[in-house]
Amino acid sequence: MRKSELSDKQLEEMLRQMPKIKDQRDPRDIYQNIASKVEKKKRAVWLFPGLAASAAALLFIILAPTLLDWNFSMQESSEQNSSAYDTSENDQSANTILADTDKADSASMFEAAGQEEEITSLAEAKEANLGVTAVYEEDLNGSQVLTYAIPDPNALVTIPVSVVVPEDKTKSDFDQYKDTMDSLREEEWGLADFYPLNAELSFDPSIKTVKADLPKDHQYGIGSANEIMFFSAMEKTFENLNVEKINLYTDGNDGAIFGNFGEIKEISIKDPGNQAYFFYYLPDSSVPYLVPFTENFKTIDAAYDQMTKDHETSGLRASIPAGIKVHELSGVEGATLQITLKEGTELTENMLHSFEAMLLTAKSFGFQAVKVVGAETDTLGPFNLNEEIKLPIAPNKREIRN
Amino acid sequence: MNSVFDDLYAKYHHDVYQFLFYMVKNKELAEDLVQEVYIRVLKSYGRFEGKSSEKTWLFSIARNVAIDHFRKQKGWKQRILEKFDFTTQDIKDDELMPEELALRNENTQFMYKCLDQCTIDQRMVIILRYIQELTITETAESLGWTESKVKTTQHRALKALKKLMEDRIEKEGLSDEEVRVER
Repeated sequence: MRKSELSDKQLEEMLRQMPKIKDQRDPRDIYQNIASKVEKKKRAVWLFPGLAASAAALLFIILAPTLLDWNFSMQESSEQNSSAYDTSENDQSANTILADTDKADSASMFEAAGQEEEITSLAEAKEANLGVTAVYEEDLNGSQVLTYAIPDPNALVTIPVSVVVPEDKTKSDFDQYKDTMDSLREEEWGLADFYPLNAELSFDPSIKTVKADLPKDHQYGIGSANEIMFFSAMEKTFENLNVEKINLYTDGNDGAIFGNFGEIKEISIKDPGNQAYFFYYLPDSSVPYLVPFTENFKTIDAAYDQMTKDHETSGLRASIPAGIKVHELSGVEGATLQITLKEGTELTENMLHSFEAMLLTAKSFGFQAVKVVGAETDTLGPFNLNEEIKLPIAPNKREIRN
Repeated sequence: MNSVFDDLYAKYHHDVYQFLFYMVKNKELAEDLVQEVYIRVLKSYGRFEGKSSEKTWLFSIARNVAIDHFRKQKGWKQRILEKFDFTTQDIKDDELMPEELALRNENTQFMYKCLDQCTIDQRMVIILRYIQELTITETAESLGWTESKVKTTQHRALKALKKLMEDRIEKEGLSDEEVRVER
């Protein structure tokens, strides 16, 4: 034989004879086994959102005071600013009148208008010494200059503001700085109220170190804008006073707490290097502040080139207009910078501030003087373009009441 | 206890358990898998639309659980190890047989072993059609197949089983008479 043959029927029959298999367990045991899984999953549905929500609420509670405080201070400062702007116009004309009375000039009516764009006659402008914003050698007649870095109302940049005070041989530069701090009028100048510093300051000239003792409840550590402006203002102000290091204390103890930086014990002051000066306009004001931008430029060509462009993130505007076309720059550090203008470049009075920005930038690059070649005029503001021009002492001159 | 669970347990527990048992041939494993079926069912009971009968719905979940189990079991590691492990074939032969089967005749016992040789699809159809005695329509619903796919798979499965049975009868001559007599 034999391929034995099985019919489908037989096969199916054999399959049907397979025994029934039963689960011997008690249904309650089975349910017990699965209950934990089925029910636990249900709980997890609200558990995670619940946890997340409570964490968020906790975070909000922690952060709320800081946020509210920040809003409040913003509101306050903007109110102050708007009032400052109202008076700025008057202030400006008052300033120019002050300058004017010194010279006892006949053009006082004209200057009261206070806008250098309106000046049509070069002679008048020169006589009036109108429009220049920096401090020049002539200003220092037995006086000394103090430059303070003051934050702008939006806390984007610090603006160097220079005041001229009578020289006092009995006081050190640092004491002069400390004493004058009280008479700064930042708000009238359209800037943020920053001075006097809420700190006990002392200076040890032998180690070029300033000791700044902050009170326990100081506001400089609240909010990143406050912190950054505090550090920036400290660095930039003290770099003018030959300080190398600032040691921070709180109530006589080492270090000060800042929200974002933690405990800071010292601020070391670096050489700012070569800086380019840009324009910073307050709203409603046509006279810019000249503000150095802290990017280290290798050559003055690069700096002047950068100065033709706006710097959006810090709110700084280009300080060299398209009308000023530089053909060539020559000269070595410590000597005279010769600026050769392209043919057809006419320096007009409304470029006076741009020219000052170029002078200040040249100063930061270590030049002693500037000679302009190829200008189609003889004078620009108070400057005689046929001669070497001495560089300014410090930017943004402002008056203070004594 | 959960009323849905009570209801399902009363109506279908042993069917589902038996299906899973014949799929994996291990009582403890089948117990674990049937629990997994309940977990999935209770989680998605709200979504049961009543388009198919509860019974076929339950079987379709049991089928997914079984297939997932086979997938998990056959990771690439096991597949490679299996190739080198020559003892696995022998172990299958000595697989523990449940008491229920040990009491049956040799043909049935052999048939039980032959189920291993079918593909998973074939085994599912054989179990559903002959052991659970579902109709072609119910089987198709449970497996999510068309009826014609059920028919062809069933046909191939029977053919494969028949060949295995015939080979064995020829080789061992066991129960030969029985087969003849029954004819």
